[in-house]
Amino acid sequence: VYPTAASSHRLASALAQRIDSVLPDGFDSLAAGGRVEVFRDGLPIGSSAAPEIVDSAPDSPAQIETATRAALSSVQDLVSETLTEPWPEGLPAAGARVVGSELRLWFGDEAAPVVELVAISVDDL
Amino acid sequence: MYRHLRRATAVVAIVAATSLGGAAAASAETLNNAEALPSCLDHQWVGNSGVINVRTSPSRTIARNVADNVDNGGQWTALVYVDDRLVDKKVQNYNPHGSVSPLDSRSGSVFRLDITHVDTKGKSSHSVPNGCIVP
Repeated sequence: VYPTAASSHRLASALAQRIDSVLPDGFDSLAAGGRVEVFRDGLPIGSSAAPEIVDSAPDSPAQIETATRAALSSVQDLVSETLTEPWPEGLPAAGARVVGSELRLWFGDEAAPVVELVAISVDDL
Repeated sequence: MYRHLRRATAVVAIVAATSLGGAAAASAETLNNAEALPSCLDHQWVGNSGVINVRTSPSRTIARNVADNVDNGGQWTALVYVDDRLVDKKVQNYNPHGSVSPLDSRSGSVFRLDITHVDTKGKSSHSVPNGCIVP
């Protein structure tokens, strides 16, 4: 079952929550509208507005996957540049796929991810 | 080193005070002549106030970077399109860079950036018409 109208705000909120759980110590992630913001030691270091692109095609699973990959990639850039080292280790590519009623998201190969985030129910988007 | 690897350096030129309408019209014309577009392998567009760089990795990840020649502060908005499909968006207070997954950039598609920058003194710039073919 795919969402009939995914919301950038709901996607940003779900992504920020999942991302926050895998960030290195000292980093935090919060949603602000349709954006995912990243903080280090409480100070903002950047954000991704990628979740907002689902509003251009809210009933498209492909657009949800694209927005999720773009947001994960942006967060990866922000953290890696702040740490001045690749994060996650090896700089694995961000991945996302809607499977049934789940949005799966990860870094690395889909079959053997380096980091796997908790899946998001598309019904919640 | 990380930045050199990850941040491609092909940008779309930034032009000061270019109207959005004019830029949009020019982009449409460019896209209608896709065979005349450069490859995204490694390309740079230079404007009168900035530069856009695009580079494609062997895995077909397209990295881009945009810079103002004078002032990279202020507000930046970057919209990234592949075949007119919006694939990324950034709104931030420093010059945007990033990359597009090969899953969102099939070979032969047209990659395009639409960038607006209002610097710390309020000067507005917009990306020049641009587009390149994903190798």
